[in-house]
This record gives sequence, C-alpha cells and structure tokens, in this order.
Amino acid sequence: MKLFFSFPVSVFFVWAATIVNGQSLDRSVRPAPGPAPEINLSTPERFTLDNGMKVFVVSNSKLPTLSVSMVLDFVPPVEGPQAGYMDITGSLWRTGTKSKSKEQIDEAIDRLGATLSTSSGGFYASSLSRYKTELFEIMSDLILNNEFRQEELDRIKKQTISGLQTEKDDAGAIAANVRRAMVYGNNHPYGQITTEQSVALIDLMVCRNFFDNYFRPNLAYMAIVGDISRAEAESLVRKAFGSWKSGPAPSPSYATPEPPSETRVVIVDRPSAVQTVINIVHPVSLPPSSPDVIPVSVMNTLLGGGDARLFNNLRETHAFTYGAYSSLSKDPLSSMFNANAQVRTEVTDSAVHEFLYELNRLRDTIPPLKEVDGIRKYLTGTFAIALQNPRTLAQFAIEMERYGLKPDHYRNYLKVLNDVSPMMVQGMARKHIFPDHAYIICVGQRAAIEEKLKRFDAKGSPLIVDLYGRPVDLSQQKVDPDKPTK
Amino acid sequence: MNLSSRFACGYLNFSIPLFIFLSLLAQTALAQNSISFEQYTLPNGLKVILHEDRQTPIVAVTVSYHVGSKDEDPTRTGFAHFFEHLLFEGSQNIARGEYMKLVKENGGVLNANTFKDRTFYFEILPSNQLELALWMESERMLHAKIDDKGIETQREVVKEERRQRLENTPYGGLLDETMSRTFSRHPYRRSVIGSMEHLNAAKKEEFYAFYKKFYVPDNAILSIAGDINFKQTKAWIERYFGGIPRGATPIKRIMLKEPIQKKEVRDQVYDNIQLPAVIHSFKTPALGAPEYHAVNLLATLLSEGESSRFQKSIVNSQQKALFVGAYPIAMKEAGVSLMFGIVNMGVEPNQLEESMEREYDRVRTELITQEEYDKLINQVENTFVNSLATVEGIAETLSDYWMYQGDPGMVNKEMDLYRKVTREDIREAARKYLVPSNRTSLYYLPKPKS
Repeated sequence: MKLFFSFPVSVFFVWAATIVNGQSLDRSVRPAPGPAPEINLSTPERFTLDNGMKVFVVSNSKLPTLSVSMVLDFVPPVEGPQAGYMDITGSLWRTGTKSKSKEQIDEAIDRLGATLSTSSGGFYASSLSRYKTELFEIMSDLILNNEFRQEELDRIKKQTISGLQTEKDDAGAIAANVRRAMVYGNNHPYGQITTEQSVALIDLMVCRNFFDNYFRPNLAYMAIVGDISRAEAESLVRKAFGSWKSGPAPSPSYATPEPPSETRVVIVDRPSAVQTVINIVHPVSLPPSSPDVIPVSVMNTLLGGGDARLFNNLRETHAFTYGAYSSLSKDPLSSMFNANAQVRTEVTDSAVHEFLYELNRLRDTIPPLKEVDGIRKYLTGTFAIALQNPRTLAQFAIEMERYGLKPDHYRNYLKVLNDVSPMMVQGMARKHIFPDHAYIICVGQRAAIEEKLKRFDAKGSPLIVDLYGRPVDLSQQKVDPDKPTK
Repeated sequence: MNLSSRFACGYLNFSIPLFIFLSLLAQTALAQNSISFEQYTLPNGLKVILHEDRQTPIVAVTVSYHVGSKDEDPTRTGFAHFFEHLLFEGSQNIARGEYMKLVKENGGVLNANTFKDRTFYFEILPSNQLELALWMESERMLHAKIDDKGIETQREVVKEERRQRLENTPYGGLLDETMSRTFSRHPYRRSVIGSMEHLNAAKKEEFYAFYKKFYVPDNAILSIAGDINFKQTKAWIERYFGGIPRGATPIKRIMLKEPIQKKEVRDQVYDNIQLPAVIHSFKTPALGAPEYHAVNLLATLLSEGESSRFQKSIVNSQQKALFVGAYPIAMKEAGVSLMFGIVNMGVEPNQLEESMEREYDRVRTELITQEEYDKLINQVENTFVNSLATVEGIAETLSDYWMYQGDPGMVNKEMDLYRKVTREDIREAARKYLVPSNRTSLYYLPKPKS
C-alpha cells in the first residue's frame, strides 16, 4: 500500500529511535496482552415473598444510587381491534392512585430527583440511595392503589394518536410495523399493529382488566441493585409489596409462526425518501433455554455485528450505507431474524443482492477459524464490559430463574462460548437463517426500486403494502395477513 | 424523542453514542465522594489523565483532539467529521481494515464522535490490553495512513450518514437549520456533518494538511479510566507517546466574534413531516462561564421530569404538544438553550409557541419555590452521579473538563457550583436570556402537497 504521508527520513529516524528506559521502540511490534484478568461473577442475594414475588439483590456501593426494576412473566394476549391497549395501560398505571393525582405523583418522583418508567410488563425506577424509603413508598402506592381515570386515558390516547401521525414519515417505524405484520399476522400477539382506529376503541375497562389479570406478584421478578443491603431491601420490599395479592393469569398458546414458503419482496412506497430502509426478516424459534442461544450469538455477531460481514460488505467495500447489521435475539414466544440497512435509493437492488450473498455464503461455507475466534474474543470482552453494570448480575439471576437455565449457566458462559466451532457457526446459519424463505421489506421510492427488485421476488412481482403491511395494489394476488403465504 | 444522537456525528451507529449535551450537563461530583485522578502534561504537550477503578477488569482509553467543525474552512463543511472516519483507516503499522478488527478481536468496543469543538476517540478493552490500546492510539496520532480507496469509501459512507440522519429522518436537520440562523458569524453556525457539495469537494492533500495541523500531541488529551496500574501506565504512555513531536507551529484559531443579538430572528423550514414543530434557540453563556449553571438549572426546571414546567403545563394540562423539551448546548466559546416542541394534533404552531412563551414569562417574573429548587438540585445530582457510572463515562467527563474548562478537577467542584446558584439567579438568567430579542425562532412545517 502506498504511503500516504512521506516524512523526511531523518525525522523518521528520530521517532523510531525513541529511547525509553534504555529500550528502543520498534513500532512494528504489536504489544502482547498481559495475563488474562479474572472475571468475578458473584451470586446475588435472593428471597421470595409469600405471594410468590421473587426478589434479587445486588449490593454495590460504588455510587450512592439504587435501582429497582420489576418484570412480569406472562404470555401476552392478542389485542385485536383495540390494539395498543397494553402499551397505553403501561403509561396509565402511573397517572393516579386512590390518594394521589397525576400531578402529585409526578411531584413526588421528581422531588427526589428520581426517574421512573412504567410499562405493560413492569417498571424501572432509580434514585439517590438516601431516598430509598420514599422510592419504595411511591412504587407500592402505584402498584397496589392505582386508579385509572378517563381524563388521563383521553390524554394518553390523544398523545398516542399524535405520535402515530409523526411515524407516518418515519421509515424505521414503518419498517417495524410492516415486518411484524408480515411475519406474525393478526392472530399472534407480536403482529398487533397500533393504529388511530384501534386507539379510538380503547376504553378504561380493557385497560383495567389487563392490569388486574397480568400484574400479579406471582409473575413478578424484581431486581434491586446498588447502595442497599439485602436486609434493608427485604424490609422495604415486604412493607411495599407484601400485601399484593397473587392470582392466576391467562396463559394462551399460539401456533408457531412459520417462515414464508418462498421469498417475497414487500415494498412500502415513500416518494420523498432519499434512502431505502431494507429489512430482510423471517421468524425463528430460539427460546432462552435452547442450547443454540450461545452459538447463534456467535453466528449473528459474525454475520451482522459491528465491523462484521454485512458491515464490511455493504459499507466498507461498497459504501452503500452508514451501517448494515443483523439481529437474532432469544425470545420465549418467537424470535425474528432481521438483516437491515438504510441505503441510498439508487443502490437498493445491489444492496439486496449483497445481503443475500452474505446470508447464503455463511450457510454454504464453514467460516475460517480465525474469524470465529475473533468473534469469540469479542463476545468475551463485551461480557466483561457488561459486568461493569451491577444490574447485569441481577439480570443473569432473573433469566436463569425465569427460563429454567442451569444455575451455573453464566458461570460457564465463557467456556461454552469458546467451544463454539466454525462448523457449529455454519450449522446455526443453516438451521436458523433462510434467505429463500424471507420477506425482503423495502421502505422507499417505489417508482425507483420496484422494477429492479423483481428478480428477488419468487413470483417476480413484489407485494406493495401500506404503512401497516396491508396490500394496496389490487392487481396483486390478495394477501391474507392472517395466514402465512403458502 | 431523543435529540442527543443528532448532535454529534459518530463513526458507527451501533455503539452507544456519547450524548454530548447530557455529558456536559452532568459534570459534577458524586454525592459524598469525589473522583480521584492524576493529571500531567508530557514535554511534547500531550495532556494525560489517569483514573483507577478496580471493580471490573476493563479499561477505557480515550483521545480527544481540540478540533471540530468550528475549525473548518467554510467551503469544506463536514471536514472534521469526515477526517474522524479516516482516522480508522490505519497507520504505518496497522493495515487498512485492521484497526477496528484489532480492537474487536481483543475483546473490545470502539467508536468516535465529532462536534463543534472537538473530536473524541475511544476504545474499551479488557484491562490486560491497555498497552495495545496505547500503541494503537499513538500509531494514529503519529503516522496515520489514509489511501485513496479509504477516502473514496468514507466519502460515500459519510454522505449516507448525512442522508440517514438528516434527510431521511423527520426533523433530522433541525440542529443545522437552527444553528445556521442563530449564529450569523461564529463558526458554530456551520453543520458538523457538512453539505453534500463540500463532502464531494474534499481532497486528499487537504486531509494531509489538516492532520499535520490538528492531530498533534499538544492539541490532544489522553484520558484513561479503569483497572490500571499508574506506574506501568505512565511508563507505556512515555514509551508510545513521549517521542511524538509536537506540532510544527502553534495552532492559530479563527476567532470570529458573534455580534450581540439585538432582535429576534424568525424563519420556517419545510420538511417531510406530518406535525409542525416549534424551535426556539436562545444564546447563553459558554461552558463554565458565569451564569452557565443557572442556565442549566433553568432548562431542568422547564423540561426535566413529568412535573417540569413544559411537561406539566403544555403537554399534560393544555395538551398543546406531543412533546416539548429544553436542551442546553454549551460549547467552548458560546452556548445555546434550544427548546423543541412538536404540536399535538389539531394544534397550530403559533398556539404551541404562545404556550412556551407563557412559561418563559412565568420564570422571568416569578421566583421558583424552595421545594422546586431542592427538586432541581436532586435531579441534577442524580443525572451527574449516573454519568460517572462507567469507566468510559468517567474518562470522557474528565477529558471534557480539561478540554472545555482547562481543569479536570472541576469534576469535584461542579455540584458546589450548582448549590451556589440562588433562586434569584435562576430568575435573573431567565430575564437575561429567555427574551425574544435574544431568540431565533423556527417553525418546522410539512411540505405542501404538490
């Protein structure tokens, strides 16, 4: 490679001959690592309340703060015509209690300098540790005594609809809706799409029923992390949540979503777009207890992590995009493989070609050992970096409990990781990635891209859908979003 | 709505960007504790900060160069950020494509970001790889190597980054549209990502000259935090950086003083959006200048938390906005307080603007209560403590204090400075800065259907 900068030779010699402590520096020699440091995985404290709530405590006094988070373990319902009520309930339950208005609750939280976010599946709260008693009092009141008021619901609905308006020009939000609609359809909880129409139908009753049925202590896992002792945590938790009544929750089951029988191109027209958002997706079965989880993370990181195959092809070689990645995360119900990038309009078809080339290459050829070893080292490093946050230990403990993992699962993580071989990586690609059974979703200028994308569609005729994944072109074969296309 | 990722432009968008305005706001000590560190300067001018944290066996190695979009040739906007991309192309001893791979394969993550005043590079690695990181950063400071293929590739990548952040995202261009109207002379008016025309025009020789001028040890701060041994670290720093010569000539900075604003600037921008937005930009003091802390507390009062003035009144009670927030952006030579609100459906932008003006009027005329004041201090303390929760956060925070205010020890003084601000000071800051004559107002409007 041609030297970009030419430096006067004499000056170069001065630099090369820098003497430090009597040793001259040879810059062409890459420094070797020191002895491998030890990673300490301590076990969180834990206890279970009589009502079934499981609590994990990680004491760490580095910072004078603490966080309290709760996650509820349930199989979500299909929302149907009132799609969006779960998220709206998630916002609603912090807006009023028997004794407090929204304003009073907001003041109580902000006064401590605390943060609180509530959702349809739990909450996360944090504050300076000197306010731990107040923090638990607020959370207790919200969980046990919440009241849903019409004026608060109306306000949230109005904001939700305004939010949906802004999404109409947000290519990323459009892609998210369409991929869920195509992969999961109407009869699966992950395929529910919130629209202005569905929000209008949401009432207090559906929100109340959702909260009462699913916010149960026997479904709850709580993590308390930070400047607090196990004894203090237990005392505060018992006081705050001891009287929370347990009860059953619905436990529906759903048909396993299947990848489409053939690859279809799905286009959402955005005439003002300067880039196409590409999402190549299909469902994958990868529950948290599956032995494939760790080898799949090696495979996916090799394919679509940072500075990985997709990035190096679509960005560093072809300069199509600012970044190309893939994701495939474990999920108890259903996972989704998603290879994605935002590319300039003109190269949309070339980018799709390169995506498919990389997906097929990983399936067809065993990756080199050096490449796989690099990924294993990278994931080892990010494992250590994640441990910087004491919450990580609590999350590990909750996961092991929730998904029935072996108690030494995380202690063995690095060993299992480093046993993932190149052949196993190829095996995971063959087992879980299907370029011939995928939806190639493109959100961009239909007029500029449709013709050149035809060759990637099994029927030679891309599906044209609206912002919510519903077909718009009536000359097309009608697609029933309730059924996978066969 | 998160604006912070739009303020700084980075090399990769998958790593967590270091949110510039939050980290500037979050400069303070831990409640009772203080951050301990060592600082010194090498004979060649390189500033060094070392902080030890043995809790996790990792280390954050960061290099901050005092060069940003403010230093660019006005016909080459986007140059500093383009150059940031090029600094990943390798060095005399690191081949093209190897730089990122070296960090990844040794268990680390890396990224960089560029803003108006400075360009910041970092990697986080297992602590037994510190020497490797120091060698790598010294390699690119001493003799980076950038060839034509690298330049042409990153030219297109940066153009895609511009398309992705600005042109294909609703409200994506708002910071550039605002700053170019807020500042009439000062270089802060220019876009960090740059225009397509200027990105296309940038030449190899210009990159070489830029590198020689700005990427020198006397223009840089090396800040390291994590599981390190000071003695060994200092020896390695001397080994890899000690021999790098300082810049050939002292850097002459373009000092263009922004004239005092005498009256309001108003304009509108048409974008691919559904709901109009209102943006107000008020000129405020530079980082660390007098009243800087009062201005930050003012922004906290207006928009932090559900009980804040904007949230409680405009969003929840009047329901005029889907969202409205106050963003203090303090830089080395000047600051702005940027207020951004998106209307709720059925609301006109002037109605939202009137609501915002009513809140400015309130803080100009009424003293906040003692309870409100105590709340602000708690909120500020909470944010700051959390910004020092990671080794990369600590390394960057200490580095920024030195870069912007000339003293990393400010980290242990900042919370006291906040506590010294009185309620009267906050009202006074509102009277002085939150006034129409000091304001640039922008309406973001949907493009008319043609």
